Amino acid sequence: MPVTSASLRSPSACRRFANAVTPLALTLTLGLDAATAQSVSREEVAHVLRHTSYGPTPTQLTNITTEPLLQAHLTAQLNAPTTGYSAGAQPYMSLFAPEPLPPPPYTGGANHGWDRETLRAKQIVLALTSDYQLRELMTEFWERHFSTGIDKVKATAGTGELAAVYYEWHENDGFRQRALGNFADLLEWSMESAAMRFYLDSNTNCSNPARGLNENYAREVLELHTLSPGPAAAPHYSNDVDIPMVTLILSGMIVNQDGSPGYLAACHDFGPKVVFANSPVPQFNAPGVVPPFQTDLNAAREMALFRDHLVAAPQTQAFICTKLIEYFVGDHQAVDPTLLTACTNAWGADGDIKAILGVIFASPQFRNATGAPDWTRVSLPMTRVVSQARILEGSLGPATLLDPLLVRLDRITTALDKIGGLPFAFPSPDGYPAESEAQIGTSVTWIYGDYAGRIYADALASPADQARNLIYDPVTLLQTEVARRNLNFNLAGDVALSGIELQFHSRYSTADLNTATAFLTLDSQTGLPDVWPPTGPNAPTEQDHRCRLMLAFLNTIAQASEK
Amino acid sequence: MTFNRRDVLKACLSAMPAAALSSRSVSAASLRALQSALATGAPANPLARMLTIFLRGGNDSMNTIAPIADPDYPTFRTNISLSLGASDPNRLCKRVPRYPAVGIHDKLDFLHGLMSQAGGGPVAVLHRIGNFEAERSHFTEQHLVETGLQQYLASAEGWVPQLLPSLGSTAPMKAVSESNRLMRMYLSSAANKAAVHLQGVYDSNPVRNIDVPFAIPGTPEALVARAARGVSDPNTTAYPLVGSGSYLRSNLRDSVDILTGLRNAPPITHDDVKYPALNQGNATWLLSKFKQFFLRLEESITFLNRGDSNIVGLELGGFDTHKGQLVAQAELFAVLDRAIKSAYDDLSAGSDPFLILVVTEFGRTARDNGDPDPMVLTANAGTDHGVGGLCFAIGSTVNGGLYNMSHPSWPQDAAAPTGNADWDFLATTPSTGTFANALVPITDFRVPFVEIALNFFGFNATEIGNFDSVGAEWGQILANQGLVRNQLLGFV
Repeated sequence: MPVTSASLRSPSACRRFANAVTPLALTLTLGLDAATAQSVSREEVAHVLRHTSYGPTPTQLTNITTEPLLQAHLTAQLNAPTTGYSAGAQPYMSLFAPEPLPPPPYTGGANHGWDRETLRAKQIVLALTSDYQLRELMTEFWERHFSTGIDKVKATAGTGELAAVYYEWHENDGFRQRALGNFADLLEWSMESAAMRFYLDSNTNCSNPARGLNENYAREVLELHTLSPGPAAAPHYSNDVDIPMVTLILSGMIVNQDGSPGYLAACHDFGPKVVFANSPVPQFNAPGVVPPFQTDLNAAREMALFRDHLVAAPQTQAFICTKLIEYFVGDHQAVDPTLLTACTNAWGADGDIKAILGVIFASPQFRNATGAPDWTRVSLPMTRVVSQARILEGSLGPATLLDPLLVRLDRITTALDKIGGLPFAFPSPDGYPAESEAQIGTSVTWIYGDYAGRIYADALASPADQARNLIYDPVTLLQTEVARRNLNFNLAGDVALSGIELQFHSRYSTADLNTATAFLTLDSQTGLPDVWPPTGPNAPTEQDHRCRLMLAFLNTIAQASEK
Repeated sequence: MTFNRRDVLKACLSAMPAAALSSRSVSAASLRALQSALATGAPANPLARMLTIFLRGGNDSMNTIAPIADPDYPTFRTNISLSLGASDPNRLCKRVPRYPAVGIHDKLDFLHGLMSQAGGGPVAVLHRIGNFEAERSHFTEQHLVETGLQQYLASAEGWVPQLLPSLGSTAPMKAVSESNRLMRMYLSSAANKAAVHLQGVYDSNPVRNIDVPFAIPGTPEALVARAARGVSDPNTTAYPLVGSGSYLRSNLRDSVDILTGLRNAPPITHDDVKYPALNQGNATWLLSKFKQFFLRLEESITFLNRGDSNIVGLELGGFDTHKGQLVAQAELFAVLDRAIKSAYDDLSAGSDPFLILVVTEFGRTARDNGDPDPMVLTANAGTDHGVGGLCFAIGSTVNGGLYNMSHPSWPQDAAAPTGNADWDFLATTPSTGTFANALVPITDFRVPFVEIALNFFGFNATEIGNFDSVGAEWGQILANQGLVRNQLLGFV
């Protein structure tokens, strides 16, 4: 994706803004004095949580009531530990195979207790339950940025399904550990991962003429991972010189039998190389290595120098920062050049992700301090389906066995599968598209509608079907919300209002509210008008069904897809 | 049937002497004169139906229709070249009687049969189609092909929806993108021409329909209708709609109407022989990864034949063959050939004009990239990103032929169309510059789209020039026919 920012403002103006926001961003602490302690609206808290997590939970919305509490929350998210799982996720994570997984090779037929289904389930469970929400969101962000598809990894590696799962799992763990670290580490991790080396054929990029060079990774590491192509009038690299040169620099990468990265001097080009000689990107010179020093280690060193060069390039910094701003602030308008400059100023030597996110989170563009928060993005599939579960307190149930847990994720994985958004499955190296416009469509409407409707439909179905969905208790949820607002649960309008404002705050129309109310006053079996709350021997069940219908409806309207 | 300008054009073409058609300069000039004469008057044809298939990854044109008479072809592609008598079935090609200098990939059996028909059959193979300002990026080049624009504009709409407002069609879904993500080629934020994006709506049972009510499965019809009305609430003034918000809301309204219509439409009775997806019939050769493609194709053809839609698009991935090209292409071509056969058989059963357009983002490098020894872990046996590529057009109004892939020294049926320039022998492949190690394009990638708008859908040059985003560029192509790259090919 090209950098979409227009022209930058004057450097002095950029510096002033950067100086103003960077210290704030880096010193988000609990220690704000009383004068700065201020209440913050539930709507604004929800705005921040929608953008920095897989959606808010009712508990979070109730507990975070002041700006210091919100800042403390963001600080904690930015400083999440690099390893381990939070208290909310740990019971479920303990059901999965112990980590780190044993590396390949694997003997035929052995059952190691993991497969691609559990690999995907792990991402979904963490999105649902982890208290380190920002870390998980950024793990997904980097998975998309450095996208690898498991089917091609498996086909290219030729070492079997289990090894392909291991490569993806291992790579994903590394992204999680580095998610809030620095870009240099992320790029190095991706470049050295077996998944990437197989996916973009870098393990078959050999300077030996008998084998052959392969441009695949060289091209994508420039276009997708670092520089971006740049404007047509001044491209960041050329096809006829730079791509072949970078292919030579990156020649000789291999994957060892245990999945670790290796470098093969026999496949590396040790000649002198000049890259970006006629481009706005700073020139890179590889002086060449003479025979006694043409070793595996020196092949790796040349690649590392080039990797550092890419990280330091202003074009990389602008591209990554733009992508982060578009993800966290919104993609409905061009990236604000002042904010972009503030982010690139926070880049540092290695691309300090935490510092950049701090700048974004402290910016007026993120909070839209001038008024009610804009809803500036359409949610990506994982966020869309998980956020529905989180705001409705969908539960995975007790953490007892892995198999029932996997079954309980069925509705989520089915929706993601139908929408083409399953983790590790995207078929091309640009990863699942993040643009809002790519999240909209007729079948998307149907898939999300069907997914939302399962809140109701699965309650009518057999125990086996119920076991395929999260556990929802809409009556208790709505009773709590009604009580919190000092409203009356015996009034359908109050219940509907509580349900709609829990999810959408002030962002709803009268018609939205009227329709939500109607679901409480229509018999769920006949569709005919009835009293609320329902009466008769089946009243508790009928009340449950109507609440489910109302919440299902609310999760089909446009606002459920916006963030 | 309505007597439209395309019929006039076809009648004129059929009346032209064969010698005139076989002469490149005369045929192009004649076509231009005809198009100019027919540039005003009759409305576009609302019954025209088009299926587009996008081969994602950059299909290798030279191993699709191989220039086996080019003396450098085997040496440029030591490891992957096709030949008539190859012992490796993945390297086998077949000769088409009309064009003995080229070989069509052995797996494209149905296409071979069509091309072998008298008069070239209903297949136009357009070679050396490409972007003269190529970046060789999948994502940039796909974007350009899909927007129909030379200039990259990140937010540009696709070229297909721009045909819709003036088409006069009464189809409830004028265009449908049957793909995982809404294809850019079908994307438009304008409500009056937004294409429908469908996938995963129909289940995979033999009798396929929308088996659950919209939105909330298991609810009484009255509640379904209530939900549908609620979802499609047009009140958008209650809160600000920022950016995609307004499009999201209007798309939801349209979606509800469309889904309701589909739910009330007859189910699709699955034919597993034509559209092998469920391993019934003879589909055991098929890998499960193509199941979804065939189910979507079946839906697409149903929509076109029922008059539900004028244009439907699918995509088939896996053509980025940096490695292991022979095996990958053989598998993909088997799928593509079956798809074209089924689509052709079903579409040609009707009386309305139809077109199957197969496109890709670029061709691949002229030379292969390395050793094919399967025992060597680091073997490539593939090709990298190139420029000049290939597209197919198959249909009821197609002027069958092999365009931009003939040479005076090569034997060829004298009546066959030749395109706008001779084949450049591989020996002339540039080693530097935009086209380094690539086929230099002859025809601009937008030209086939312009011709389809003009000669298949029946828009005149003025109407095309008024298309929203592509109008200016396409208008320039029509206005500058003196440039070889802009010259229409006359394939439809």
